[in-house]
Amino acid sequence: MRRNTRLWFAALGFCLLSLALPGGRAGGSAKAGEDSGPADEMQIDDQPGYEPSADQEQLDPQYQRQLVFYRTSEAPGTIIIQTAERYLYLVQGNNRAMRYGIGVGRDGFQWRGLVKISRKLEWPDWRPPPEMIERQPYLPRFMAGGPGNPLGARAMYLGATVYRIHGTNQPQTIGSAVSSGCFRLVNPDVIDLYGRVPVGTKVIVRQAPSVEG
Amino acid sequence: MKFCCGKRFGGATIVAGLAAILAGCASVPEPASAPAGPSITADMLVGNWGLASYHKDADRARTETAARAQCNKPYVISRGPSGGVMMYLADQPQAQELVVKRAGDGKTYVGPAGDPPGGDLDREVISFDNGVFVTQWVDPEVVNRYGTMVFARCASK
Repeated sequence: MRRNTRLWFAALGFCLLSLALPGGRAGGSAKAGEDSGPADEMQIDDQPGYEPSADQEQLDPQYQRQLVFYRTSEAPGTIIIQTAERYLYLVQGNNRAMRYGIGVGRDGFQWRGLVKISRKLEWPDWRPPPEMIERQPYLPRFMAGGPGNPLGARAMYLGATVYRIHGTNQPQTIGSAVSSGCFRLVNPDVIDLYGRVPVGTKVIVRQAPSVEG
Repeated sequence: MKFCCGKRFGGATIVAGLAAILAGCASVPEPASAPAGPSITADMLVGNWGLASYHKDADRARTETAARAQCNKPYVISRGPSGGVMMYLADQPQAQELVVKRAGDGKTYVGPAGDPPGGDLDREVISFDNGVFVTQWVDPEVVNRYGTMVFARCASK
């Protein structure tokens, strides 16, 4: 019962940010999208303190990290996020890309744009939004990075926006629309991606299915 | 071979004997005991606190700084009707009355009155000074998830 209480969090999902994101609009060069939300939007809140097992971090085959055929004119090293597909591609050249399954913004919190990775952090800190503190007043208002942290093992900040590519302690949300505009990967994947991309990496966020691939 | 090994054994015995004699010259170590926890009362916990947590000791200092910055959404500890304090147990959104407990080994806990000190629902008070108290849940599963909690007293308005 106690476990159920821990693991069930109703209502709104939040981007794993301490900041409120009015309208889910991105700052900087990112533009808000017009598309309606996907059908598989999840209603799940953050689960601070929850640590997934290695088994739970084993994704369905379609969302597992893999090298795929991917035709693009973008330079190797570029990140292309296909929101509608729930994939993040890291362009490798020679019509190849490393593909990662991701969780994306829920309806109204999706966006598209061109940004660059402006900052990278290992085990980022997390601050629950005020609404969450109201519902779960026992939570720490600041959680230093570590296991169980909803931001996961790594974070890559996107330009001057409040959005990030980050890890998660909720692997079940990969492939779904659950955040407030951030892109989440399971921790093993975000660690892998983090090691492959430097600050300054070009990130293209798209919403429509790729016409290049 | 047998001679060889027997000689070795004899040497080892002598060395062990000397070590025992030398050890006997030194002071006999006290049996290991847990460090005593801070001596606190329920009244000392009452107030508004900034709350933050960490997992790695290296993060403690900055977590304490972060806790001091959380007074805009304080963790409020009020006096309970039976002399305890109203606080939250792990994962419980309703505050309930808890008491300060002192265990036989000197450790200090805060938890439900009916449970012995160090019960699964308790939190151990690791330290209490300079307007900051640090606690850790007894339940290791909860510790894994939430880490060590740092409460920093908010300035009274």
